[in-house]
Amino acid sequence: MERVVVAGVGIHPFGRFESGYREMGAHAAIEALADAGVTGADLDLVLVANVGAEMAKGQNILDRVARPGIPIINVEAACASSGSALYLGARLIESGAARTVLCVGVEKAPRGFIAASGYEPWQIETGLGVNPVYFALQAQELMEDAGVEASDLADVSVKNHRHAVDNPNAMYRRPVTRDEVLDSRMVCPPLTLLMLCAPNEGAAACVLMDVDEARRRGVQAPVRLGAVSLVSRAAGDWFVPAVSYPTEARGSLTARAAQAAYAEAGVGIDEIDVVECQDTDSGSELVAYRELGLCPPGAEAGLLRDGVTSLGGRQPVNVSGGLLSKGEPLGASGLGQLHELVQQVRGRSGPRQVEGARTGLGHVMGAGHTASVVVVGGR
Amino acid sequence: MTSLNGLTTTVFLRPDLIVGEASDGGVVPGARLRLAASHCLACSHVEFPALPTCPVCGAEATPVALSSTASLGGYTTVLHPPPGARIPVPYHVGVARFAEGIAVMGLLVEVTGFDLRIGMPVETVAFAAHDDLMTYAFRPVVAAGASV
Repeated sequence: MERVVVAGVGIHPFGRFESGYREMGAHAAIEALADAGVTGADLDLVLVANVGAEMAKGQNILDRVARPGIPIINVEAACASSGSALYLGARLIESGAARTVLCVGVEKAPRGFIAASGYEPWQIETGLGVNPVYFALQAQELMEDAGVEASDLADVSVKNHRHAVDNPNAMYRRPVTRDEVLDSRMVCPPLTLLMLCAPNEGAAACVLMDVDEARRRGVQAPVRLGAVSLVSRAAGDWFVPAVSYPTEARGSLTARAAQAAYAEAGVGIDEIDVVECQDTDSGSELVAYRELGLCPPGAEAGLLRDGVTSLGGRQPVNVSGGLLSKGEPLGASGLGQLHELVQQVRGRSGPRQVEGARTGLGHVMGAGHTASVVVVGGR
Repeated sequence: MTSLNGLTTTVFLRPDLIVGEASDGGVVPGARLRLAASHCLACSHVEFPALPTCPVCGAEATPVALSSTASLGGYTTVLHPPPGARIPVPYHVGVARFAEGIAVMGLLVEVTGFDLRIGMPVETVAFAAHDDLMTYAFRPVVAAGASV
């Protein structure tokens, strides 16, 4: 992708709040517009990513921010809602159909297990509609096939919580120890409570802009958006939230999304300086290591143990604290990652700054159905 | 519960998921079952629950009964009651890998006395998750020549 820049980003902290989704979404949108140096009147299109709010949610948010009378489109793809909005916005700009697009992601999720996760009523009634079950099966497979130990699953959480100490937008900012993670309440073996992210509330936004438009406007700190890929389930994909899948299925949505993004951005995985990936649970982060190409299969735990993915390591992962520490406001998670990556590439991340970060990668996975990878910065 | 000729039976939640007479109350808990899948006439893809057309290639699909036995893939335990579930915790969930080339999620029941491990044989049975809720489930079986 040659023509798209992120002109500005905004965020409402992730956590639990008195305010509603409209206030949180508006907060992030206003911050992103100010960061880009534009107003609502400069926009061509607004895309709003959200899973569970209500009808006409984007319209309700924008009604508090600006009333330019332009198209507002709501986008939903579970945890990949933000990625889907970015895909659409970036492609409209690349094709010349729009010059300035505001993307807003927002969620105000209830506490606990996520209800209405896309399971059929019979699955829910018989106890099969439980997200942590599927993460646990994946983690068990890692332990069987990739030499991952329970201590590694704990250490992913330890790492991400350590990173979050310096992120004022994260929900949990207290460092945790391996024993604390292992001794926290068992949810679905081998996963304990502190190895799973908590659905929560928050918002994030960005202004995407045509590169010439950004130059004309004198945007202060544009960051190139080199790629946004978006893929859905293919015939040979391993797909755990489904009732069934082919026994020989080994295809990976994340791997396909990553390959498409590297090709589109013209970068290789070795050129990525900082990664934000979908750490819905500790096992999912380790799976992402191999599927994004950070390591070959079987080397996931080694990468973690060697500190490669910690702040200060060669390719730090989830320096924002990840979903394990920030919590996951489903519709906002991908734009939250983009916020982190843009500020990293701009060199504005304070104590958690990755030194010399030039290129960042973001990865989200939506209910097993959808994966999206973004590449920012570079060239 | 429904009373039928003085016998108490539990209604099968989704009789279309299994082969046989579940809709008549003719299945009792513990009975061996076969899952009702579909088989694509063009690309051979097997789907469960069954669909009238193949979700991979779009061609016509025909009903096929999966083997009653399978091999256990992954498994875990649910320790806290999920919203909407009508089965008491704790309960086990497992993946059954069938010879027909399909892996199916289901409850894993009657595991007491078994050392659960990936690759062990399981069979498909009817299971009463609740007084008035029967569904399919997988149960470990002792393989010929193996000891429990």
